[in-house]
Amino acid sequence: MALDNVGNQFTEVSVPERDLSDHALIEATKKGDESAFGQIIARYRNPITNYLFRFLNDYEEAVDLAQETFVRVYFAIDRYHTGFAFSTYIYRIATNLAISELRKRKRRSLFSLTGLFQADGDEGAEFQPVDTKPLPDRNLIDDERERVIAKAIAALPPKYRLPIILRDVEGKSYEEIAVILELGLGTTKSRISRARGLLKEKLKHYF
Amino acid sequence: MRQEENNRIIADENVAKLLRALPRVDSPGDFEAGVRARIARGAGNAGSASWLFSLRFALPVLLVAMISFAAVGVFLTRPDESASVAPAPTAAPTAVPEITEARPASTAFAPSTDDDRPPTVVARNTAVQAVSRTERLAAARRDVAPAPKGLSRKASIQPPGTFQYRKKTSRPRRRLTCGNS
Repeated sequence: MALDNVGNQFTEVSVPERDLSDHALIEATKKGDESAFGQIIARYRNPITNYLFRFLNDYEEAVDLAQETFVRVYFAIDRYHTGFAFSTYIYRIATNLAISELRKRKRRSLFSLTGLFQADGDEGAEFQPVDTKPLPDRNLIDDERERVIAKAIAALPPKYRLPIILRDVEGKSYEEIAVILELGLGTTKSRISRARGLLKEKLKHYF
Repeated sequence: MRQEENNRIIADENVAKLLRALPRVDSPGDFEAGVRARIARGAGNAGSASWLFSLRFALPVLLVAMISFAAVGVFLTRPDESASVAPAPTAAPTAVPEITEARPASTAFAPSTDDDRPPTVVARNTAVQAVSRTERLAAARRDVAPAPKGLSRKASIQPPGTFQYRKKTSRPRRRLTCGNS
């Protein structure tokens, strides 16, 4: 039993955590409810991992950064304002981590001797056109197509890659993408359009 | 024109469909355990991490402050040429003004008393004083006429009315000054 604002007794009705809103889970986490934070992880672990994987094209790295994203959320939870959606907030953290990771890779390749003789894995990745010869197995065809599309996305410059993944892979609205990437709505739309144009050139064999 | 626009929209839709058809990647089973372990590690290291983080900013700030203090100190102790010309009544008389005052042989105004004479400030920096004294001596020697008979050259460059003839004694020779002594 507990008391409400006017002193009346009422019975607390426990709402299952999976039915709580993001903001309610955040508030519970702030009060020290670890299972509420577990629910946040359960809700966003797969979308964030998928988003980072499509951006970095490296599963291990994507999982590592996704875990780091949740750690950042946990330690900065007191600074989170409920002014905008939590999903936007967590995607923004993941995006910043992914961009930092790309910069680190760039520096590593710049200072490594082997990097002098190799193309950059992200920026200068040579895009191989698809082999249009028929393959015997349907699964192999699908795998090959998936591999080529992933490589085509990875070959896009990051400023085009991020919005198109958020739009076409994650299914976010233009407004959400603009908030996540801290861009104007017009810039967001034009970048998505440009990214589609670049992909269209590379994937024309699949249309 | 409209046809082109329609074609572009259709092509964009096809690209979007291809991307949407990509299989979604799931996180591994031990994902949450990994996050919890990192949080536990992060909480343990929070103290030292914050200390190091603050040091990261404190060191450059300290360095900049030290450089600024050094720069200000150098600026303030710099010998100022204008200060040696500026009047300062409390300045102690030294040997330098006596040579400076010898010049008025060619000038229009020759002070007769100490009150008429413009006070002179000598820079406290001994290096500057030494340089200016040497220069002034050299200039005085050039300007002053040959010493009269019976007087030393040094005595001859005294301003008029200040020279007092003294007999040689066994006492150590005292330096002649034009000041209040």
